[in-house]
Amino acid sequence: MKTSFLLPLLMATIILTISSCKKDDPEIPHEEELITTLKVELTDSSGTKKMLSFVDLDGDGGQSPTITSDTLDSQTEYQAKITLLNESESPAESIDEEVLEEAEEHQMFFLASSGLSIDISYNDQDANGNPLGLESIFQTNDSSSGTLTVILRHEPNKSAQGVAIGDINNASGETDIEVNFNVVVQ
Amino acid sequence: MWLFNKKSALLVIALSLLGSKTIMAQGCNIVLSGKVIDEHDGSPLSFAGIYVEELQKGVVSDTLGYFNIKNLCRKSYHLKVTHIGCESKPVFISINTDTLIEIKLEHHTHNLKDVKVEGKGNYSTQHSNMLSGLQLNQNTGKSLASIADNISGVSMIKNGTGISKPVIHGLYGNRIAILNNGIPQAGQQWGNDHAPEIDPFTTNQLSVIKGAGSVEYGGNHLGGIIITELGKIKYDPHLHGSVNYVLASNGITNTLSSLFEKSGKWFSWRLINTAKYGGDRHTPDYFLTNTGVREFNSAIQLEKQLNKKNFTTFYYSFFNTKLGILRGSHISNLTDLNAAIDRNTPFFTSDTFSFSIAPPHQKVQHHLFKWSYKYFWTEYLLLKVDWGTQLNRRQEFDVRRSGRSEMPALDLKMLSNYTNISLSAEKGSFKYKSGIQYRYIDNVNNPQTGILPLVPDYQLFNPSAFGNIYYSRNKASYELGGRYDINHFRVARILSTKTIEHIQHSFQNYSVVAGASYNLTSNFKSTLNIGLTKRSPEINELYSFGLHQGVASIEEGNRSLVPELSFKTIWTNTLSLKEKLWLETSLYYQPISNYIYLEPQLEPRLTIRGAYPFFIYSQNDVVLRGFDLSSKYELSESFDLSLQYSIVRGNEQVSNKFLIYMPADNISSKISYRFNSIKKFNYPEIALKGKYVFKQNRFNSSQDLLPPPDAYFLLNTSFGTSTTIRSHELNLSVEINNLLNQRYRDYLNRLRYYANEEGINIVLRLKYNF
Repeated sequence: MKTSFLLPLLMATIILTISSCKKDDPEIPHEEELITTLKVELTDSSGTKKMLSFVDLDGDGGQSPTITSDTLDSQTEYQAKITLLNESESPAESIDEEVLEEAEEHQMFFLASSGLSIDISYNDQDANGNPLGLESIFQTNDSSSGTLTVILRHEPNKSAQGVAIGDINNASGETDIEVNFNVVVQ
Repeated sequence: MWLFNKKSALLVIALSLLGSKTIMAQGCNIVLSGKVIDEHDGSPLSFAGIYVEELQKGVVSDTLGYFNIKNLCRKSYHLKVTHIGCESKPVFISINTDTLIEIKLEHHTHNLKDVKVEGKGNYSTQHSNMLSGLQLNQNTGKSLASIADNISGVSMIKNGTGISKPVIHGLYGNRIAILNNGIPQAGQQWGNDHAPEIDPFTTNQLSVIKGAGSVEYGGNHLGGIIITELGKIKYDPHLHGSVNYVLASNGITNTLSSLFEKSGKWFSWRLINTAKYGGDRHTPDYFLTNTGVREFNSAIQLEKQLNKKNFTTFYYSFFNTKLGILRGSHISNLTDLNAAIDRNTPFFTSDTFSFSIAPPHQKVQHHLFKWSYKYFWTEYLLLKVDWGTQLNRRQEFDVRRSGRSEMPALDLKMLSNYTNISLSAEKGSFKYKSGIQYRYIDNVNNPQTGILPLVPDYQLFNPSAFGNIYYSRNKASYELGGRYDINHFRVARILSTKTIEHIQHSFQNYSVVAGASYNLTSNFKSTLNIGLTKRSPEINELYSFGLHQGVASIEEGNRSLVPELSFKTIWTNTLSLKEKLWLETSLYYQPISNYIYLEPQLEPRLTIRGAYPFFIYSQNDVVLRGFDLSSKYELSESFDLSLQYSIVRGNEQVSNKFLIYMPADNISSKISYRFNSIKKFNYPEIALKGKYVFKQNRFNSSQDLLPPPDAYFLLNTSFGTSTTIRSHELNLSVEINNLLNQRYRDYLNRLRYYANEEGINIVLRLKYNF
């Protein structure tokens, strides 16, 4: 009986086992694509700033995100500027630069619930002359309150009907951001 | 093992002892006599054709299956044995004196076969269902799961048309074992969208053990076992093989596979290569954009009979695939999910056909290296050693920003080793088998994904031991077996705080199987099996964390899970009446305590991309039970009718809530007619198959996004025949699936939220044997 066959086999098995006694530390992936933070900075004609912000530093799952929104003044025109950050990296990475680089493949949408009276229009363009939405104009009307949903779509169909004026219904594409703010205008 | 199988002793004598010393006799007056019998029950096969290729002439067996071929010379001959309803069988024989042989043909292609007995040392009261020969030939080009789906009680869970996993009696994934040529398949089995990495062309025989489990094949398979076997290389010193070509109209999917084999003095070899190339599938109304497939697989088998007592095999296989996933099923959040569900055609549906595969898609590579050694100590004592090393790489690509679509979103490498040393012994009516096994798994995430891994890096150390006693006397046989496993995990987990947590834990599992089988008459057999199996939670159930993109849900593992304990009883009866009617029924009852499942949470998880359905792994006591029926009636030699029916019920024990993803009741029937040979075409066969799948009315609405789809009926038809080209056989067949171009969705297809199933599909199959 050729037991000599078995011996190396057992040895190999044991060596494989022992040589890996401690599970090696995995390399932590560089989450360069993660968006942890969305800030909508609203500036009125006098330079007063208001802020809507969504921060979820640990990404999907885990801790719940922190959502804050300042009260907006009625009958006021705000210049809105969106900042997207990955604050899980240090220093924080700017994601809006990435969106700007691929402006033709991205578009922001702003959906106000029926109770909320704000008119929002785009204030920037991609290379094809279609809106991008990192910069926009918020015109508040009389006092109201409701939900403002801020959406970033990747690969939307920008030429579909209504998309250029901010109607998301025909936009399709993938949602990179969808955040709800409870907004009060008074 | 033909060398040691007494039944084929005659053939053995003829084949092995008479050997290669071919001396041309001056007069050619040797007589070859023989008998053709049914491999299944040993009954004689009359009117079988025995064709001698070298002489280009043939004889026909008489009513008792006997035949005589006279005036043969002292040399080697290739015989081809054919019979209506059988796959033709090549036989190679060297003769130098008058010889008597026995030829077994696989007749009666119902899958109501006897207990699987693979050579010496495997005895079991377990009932298994097999597909081989003709049945596999009729299913070439399909995935492993869709082939197994032909067995009553087996269904599949799909992720679109290209990705399918087998489901046995309602259980799948971590709960079933797949034995790939004797080695437990080690891949990322936890994912519902992870199909088994096996090329069906490397399988001569596919068996499914639906029973209470087998102590030999690893601990966790409380749902059943799927066994693929390639079998031994034919004894024939000349190069032989086959070429298969399959063209499916839906998706213009081309499959080409070749097999070459040759047995030689030093060793015998077999080489299999398969390539598959397909594009977008089509529903009755629209293309399923990005559902193409690429596959390139290779396998090599080397066998060596060292001497009378030593036999060794090497086997290496490489499975390599790229699978497109329906573009419109890549969903960002609950809002988009609801929008996708409401659409008639999925998002991103293209108007034109394309072969291209873009993200989302999967790339999977699987290497298996196996070495197996058998030592026949005495006639009654066999030592068997198996060594299997597997390397599995799974990459999943998503649609991502800034060119990152080229970067996998999930990238896992799994290295595994498996060693099995077993001893089988026979003493009187007793048969013993025992062994020790060691399984090692090392799973590593590639950090280049830029995403925190869904399952952590880990190592698993799994030593185990098993023993089984089998006793058979007269009409009854009994079996008792036990198994003990230690699963030790070493986990290195990246937390969302970007710190690494090292965890070690162990589970001890045991299984006990008891079985009895009784042959009331030679036509009726009853088998009862009871098995107690403990399954410890798998890595994904304990630690998964994050977004499962394929299903747009956030899943979280649960560290406090304890092992599941299953107690399955299965009672199988097989009846054959006058070689006309075959009937098999299986009735089973399986309570599982601490059954692990994904429990939907009331509050969806809020992320920057919006809200996602949120699930946590949880446990509960459940019970599964069901019934399978499989039958075949041969109205005449040329006309037969078959029927299959299966039902499964699963619910929680206390609350009675229904379990998710239980296969819907289904019934299928096939009627086939074989004509007599027309000129050069042998036994043309025409068949019509209908399948009705009921609506799954037993569901828990809180657990799913949509209620199950409606019932559907599918009609398939096929026509097949064979002909001889220069004394080589060519099989050709045409099959039309979904003949009525029915619009339907299947409950177990996870893309049912977005798209219909594929429409009509015309499949052409050619197989050339040489």
